[in-house]
Amino acid sequence: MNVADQRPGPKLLATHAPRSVDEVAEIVRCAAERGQAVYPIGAGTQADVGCMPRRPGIGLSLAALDRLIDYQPDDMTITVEAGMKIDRLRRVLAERGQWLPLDFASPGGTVGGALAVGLCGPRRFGFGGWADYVLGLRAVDGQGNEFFSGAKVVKSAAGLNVHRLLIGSLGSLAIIAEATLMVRPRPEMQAGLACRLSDPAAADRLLDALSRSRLTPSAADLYSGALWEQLSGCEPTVGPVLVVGFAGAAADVEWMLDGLRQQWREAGVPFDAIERVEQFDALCEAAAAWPAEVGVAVRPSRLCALMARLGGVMTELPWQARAGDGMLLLRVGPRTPAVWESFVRDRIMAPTAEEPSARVAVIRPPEGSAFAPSEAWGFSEDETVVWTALKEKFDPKAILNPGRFPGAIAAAGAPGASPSDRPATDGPATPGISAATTAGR
Amino acid sequence: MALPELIAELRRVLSPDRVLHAPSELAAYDCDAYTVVRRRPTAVVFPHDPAEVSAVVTQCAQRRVPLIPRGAGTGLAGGCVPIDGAVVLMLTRLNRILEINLRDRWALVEAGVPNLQLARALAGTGYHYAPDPSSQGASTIGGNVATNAGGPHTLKYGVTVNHVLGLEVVLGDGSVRRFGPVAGAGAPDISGLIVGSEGRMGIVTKAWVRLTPNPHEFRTFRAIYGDVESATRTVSRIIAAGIIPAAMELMDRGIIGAVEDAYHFGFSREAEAVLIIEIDGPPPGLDRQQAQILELCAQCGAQEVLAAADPAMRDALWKCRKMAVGAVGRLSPSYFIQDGVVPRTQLPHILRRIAEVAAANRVRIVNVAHAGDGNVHPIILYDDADPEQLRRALRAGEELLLECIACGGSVTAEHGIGIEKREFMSRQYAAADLKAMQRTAEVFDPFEILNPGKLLPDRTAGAGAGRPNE
Amino acid sequence: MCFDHDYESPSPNPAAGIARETLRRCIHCGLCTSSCPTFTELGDENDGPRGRIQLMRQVAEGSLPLTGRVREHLELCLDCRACETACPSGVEYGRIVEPFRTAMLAADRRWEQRFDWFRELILLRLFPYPERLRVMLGPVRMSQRWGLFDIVRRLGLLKLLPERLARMTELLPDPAPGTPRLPRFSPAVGRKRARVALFVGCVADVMFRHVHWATIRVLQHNGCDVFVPRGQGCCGAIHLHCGDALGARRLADQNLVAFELDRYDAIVVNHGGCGAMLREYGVHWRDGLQPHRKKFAAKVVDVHEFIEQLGMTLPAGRIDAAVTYHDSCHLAHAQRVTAAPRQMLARVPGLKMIDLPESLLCCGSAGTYNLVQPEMADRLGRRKVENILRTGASAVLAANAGCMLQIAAELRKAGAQLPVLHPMELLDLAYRELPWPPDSRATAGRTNGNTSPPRLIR
Repeated sequence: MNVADQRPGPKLLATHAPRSVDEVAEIVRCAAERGQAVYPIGAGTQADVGCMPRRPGIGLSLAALDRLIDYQPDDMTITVEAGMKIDRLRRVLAERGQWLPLDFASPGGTVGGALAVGLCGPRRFGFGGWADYVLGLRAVDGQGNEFFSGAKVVKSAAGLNVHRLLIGSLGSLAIIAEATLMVRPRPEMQAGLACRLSDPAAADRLLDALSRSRLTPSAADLYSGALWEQLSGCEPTVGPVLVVGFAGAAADVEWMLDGLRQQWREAGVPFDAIERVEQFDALCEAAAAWPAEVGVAVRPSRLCALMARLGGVMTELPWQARAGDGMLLLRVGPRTPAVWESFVRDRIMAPTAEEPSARVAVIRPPEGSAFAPSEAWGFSEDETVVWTALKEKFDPKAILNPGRFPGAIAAAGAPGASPSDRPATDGPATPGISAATTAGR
Repeated sequence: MALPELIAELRRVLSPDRVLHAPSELAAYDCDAYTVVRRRPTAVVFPHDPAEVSAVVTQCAQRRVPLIPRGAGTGLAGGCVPIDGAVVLMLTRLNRILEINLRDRWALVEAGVPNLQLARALAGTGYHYAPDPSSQGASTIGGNVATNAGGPHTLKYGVTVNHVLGLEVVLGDGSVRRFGPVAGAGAPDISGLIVGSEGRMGIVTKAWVRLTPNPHEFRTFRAIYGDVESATRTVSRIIAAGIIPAAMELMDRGIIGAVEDAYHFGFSREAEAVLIIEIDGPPPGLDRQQAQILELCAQCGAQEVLAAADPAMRDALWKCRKMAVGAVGRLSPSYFIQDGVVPRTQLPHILRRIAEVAAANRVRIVNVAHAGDGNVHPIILYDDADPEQLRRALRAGEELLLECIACGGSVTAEHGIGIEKREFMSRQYAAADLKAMQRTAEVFDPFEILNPGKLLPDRTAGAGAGRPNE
Repeated sequence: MCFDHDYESPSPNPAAGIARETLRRCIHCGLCTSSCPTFTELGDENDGPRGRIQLMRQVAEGSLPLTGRVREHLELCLDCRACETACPSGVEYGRIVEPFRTAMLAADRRWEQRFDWFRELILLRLFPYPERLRVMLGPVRMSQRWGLFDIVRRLGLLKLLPERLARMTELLPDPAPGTPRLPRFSPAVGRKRARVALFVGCVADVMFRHVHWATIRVLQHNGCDVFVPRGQGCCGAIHLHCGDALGARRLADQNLVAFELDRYDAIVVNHGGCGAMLREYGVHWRDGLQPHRKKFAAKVVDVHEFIEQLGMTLPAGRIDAAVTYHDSCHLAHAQRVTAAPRQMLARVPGLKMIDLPESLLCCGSAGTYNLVQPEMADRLGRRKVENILRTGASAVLAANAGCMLQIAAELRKAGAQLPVLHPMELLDLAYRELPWPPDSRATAGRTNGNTSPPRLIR
């Protein structure tokens, strides 16, 4: 159960399984002194996310840090160690009628792993993403400093939200050791309606009508016909499928479903193109578990225009799109690394570049592909500049998950900032954005 | 002293009429709504766009002169007090709503737009901007972002950080940077990091904020109690029943009296506590929730529960709650409002402690609370003409905050740390936690000129500046 | 509540007479800032209510000299009192800034001997006197009717006049047909429900006499005997705001004599500015007549509020139009009347009311403000007109002479053809079942039911 079991990864010189946060800090401190790479390991279920690290280093398994530290159902807060498995967390919450309204790629994964990957599923539209449920994190930075950021209560304005940086940064800034999460009462019912469409333009009209209506969906997604068949087990269809779901009291959900059905009928959708999705919860989980390889973020109103730009790609590949949030997820499928890469560059990245609000992230580059982290994650220049400086502060030796996520590597050896680029300093240059600015450009 | 030169440069990069430096005109910028600490700024500037903001930042960075962004100046923690001869940068002239896009569910607004102006612009669209701090009539979106402002409806809808999709920020080196609003598949949430940083990580010039669909229907109730404990018990019981109301607000006897004097709403002055409970959502589920809430209120000993009959009555109830703090001006010549948070289940305990602390320090404390969040706002009354009273009031406030920390809570839920609470940061956080924050701030503010001395305690900047005025 | 400042003996410290408690009531929360038109435009605390109170407090405490800049910030205040509506602590801003400014101006006159011909001649000697104003306006009216005025306006020849005089002329509305004198008495239509006296004022009577006619007819339709007592004059607001407290008192006392309080159920006012002043007669001076002035003030009521309390008779006519309503500051903030006009208009069959964005923000008229602070007045006027045009309404309603002049002038500048009406004019059309859009002749002098000159009592 570590990253090495899943696919060829970095050569692990040893794997440690610390039993406390102190031990995590100690291990990182030692590694930092030696400049040795550290690869945090959860359950390994999403080890294929991000670029492939190459530097040999030590594995740091958080499996033994799996305790439930505190659960106050009436406060709707829970604190767990990072190694706790998602399915155990769900069981604990379910006993008190509560849940974490997020879509997990894998119930066998760990809380820390899910946070480090940070990817969300269909219900992000209605419930928000990871960052909206994390109240506080305890973590260990690249020098072995243990720190806590956030709070254990549902509302706090004290201090900086450093913990938000750790969500989705693949453990490249600090290793998450413990999380305090906000939980919610589990909704009584979840259900949705699916609508088979002829083309993405039809989806655009329905989505527009949805945004003007008073319905409050928990998810609004598009699936390619092939993927829909695979996820739902329904009969095959050629055009895309729009799925809109609701969560809440049974009476409310039924009321919304009625409203949606009526809206679609008024828009001219034929009766037999609409079907009810009973197992909406399961559908969302399956959609989140689908290992997308490329993600294109775009402002929601431009999603259908983007799909039109991508042209044949949309019929060749299986895909799903978070229509409410503006995210298109694709699987290029098994090809040789070179073919895979040129497909992504020529057929996805090139047309996407024409769409001003869109940005491409290569979520799961195949082994052997040449995407460097900075390119794969599609950071803007502003993000690169700031992130590089942050990495410098939190992991100056660049030992945390090196090569998997954008960071300091590119900046290493870069020429220093020229004095004319920043305000005159009378002391030594403050390491910060200014230095990074020139490095990034 | 390079200040005359700085002022000359500022007048050059803006225009002379947009740089105030006469002592008579600087006095109004001595403090914000936290009046305990007042300091005179070096100058006040009024840029019109991000490029001008950047030019001002660059000028100040070159001379290492601290810079304080300011909007409506309604902050309650002294975040805008210009310690160490800071230049105050007013964002009030960046006040346009640039885009309202319902399909993308966002609005793009400049930092100086008052929260209420956005709310009004959204009227009739079916959407709203959810954070509704009690200061929303005046406070700006930029200020709300800086303090991660909350409000009564955060219980269900979250605080400002949950509603910011992207930011345009001028960083401490004068660079203008944009984060968001389209979130990449794996890009870290840098705008979420900047929210709540009280101007320490950049000067926000634009924000993309999330628009939330208006609830289908509201039900607003006012429950009256003979004792505070019964009211707090109701809060816990409602949450335990799996209901998340849009808001649950508590007012105690002291504040009810002031509100009545101000607005004549018809609250009984005999009531020891009033809860305002609001639920919202589609109509079918509301009936059941309403029945449950009425039942729970009765079980917990509510003397009377009144449902708002129409939108006008709902507005009146909320007006009363939101203006409650200001109405305290009728009780006392000076006050300061504390902002602490405890786990919701500790609410009865903290309210008992507040009463004890008030008695021990011989000050009067009245209470409003976002009870659903465990967020208490004890309002400590004093007369600023009497230094002894001020000292006792400050001591009472300090004791209450320490109690919040002891309960596992936080010294601020929504007002921010500012200058008022920076000494408490080291009580709430370990040195390593603060160090992590410090390092993060340095990335955005390499020359330590952005509101230094606020939020974080470990700087030499502003040493002793937190002391009250002599 | 009485406040103890003394206009008649200006001292070097303009805040000398303002009670310390009144000044200290401000707890510096800043919730007023966004309600303030000048803060909204300039974003400077010194041009917002909280900052101005601080300036005045410091002057009062002697820690700040009354420098030119300080004066400018205080003079830029419109005294619209929107901040009072916003203030949760009940700070009576008007009762701080008004005496302060009056004393400031009076002191200025006495010690600096600053002779301002405009204030002296036009504001104080001409404006408040209907007869002088009428005579003065004669030639202007004539040239308006011949179309000369329009040409002059278009050619920009007005610029040749001294600036403020030119502005004043710009404000003049288009010529209305000669409106006959108001009748001393007009009887109730139908069941008699009240006896009221109408206050007619100065500018309002010269430029908006047709509004008085409409008001009389609306009151008649609502069962009121309407009296227009002779001998009444300007309310005194212009004098007071220009620092001439004595002149204001003289006018107030003239009105005290003209209105025999016991004969009427109410003194009805249809313009917000006059109403606010009359309602404050009880607080501005300190002499033996104060009890009488207080009694007078207590009788004064806004016409909309009065008819709403009485119970409005539904009009028979229909007006199929979409209109918008602008809140006059001195009606909305000083008198807290916002609902009554809207409720009355909403009852007119066919009429659609469109909400005016920033309705509570001053239009820049503010009494004589547009004559003394032209730049800010123009900015606010433009802002108001942009908001009005955005509504798409076919007419804009306002219940104050100054607002009507200002909005009409700004609309003209913007090239918009929107009529500016007083709510009473629109209601009058509805009661008389006259067609929309209004024909200017319709509002001319005619009381209900009798085309012959009204029956006079006495």
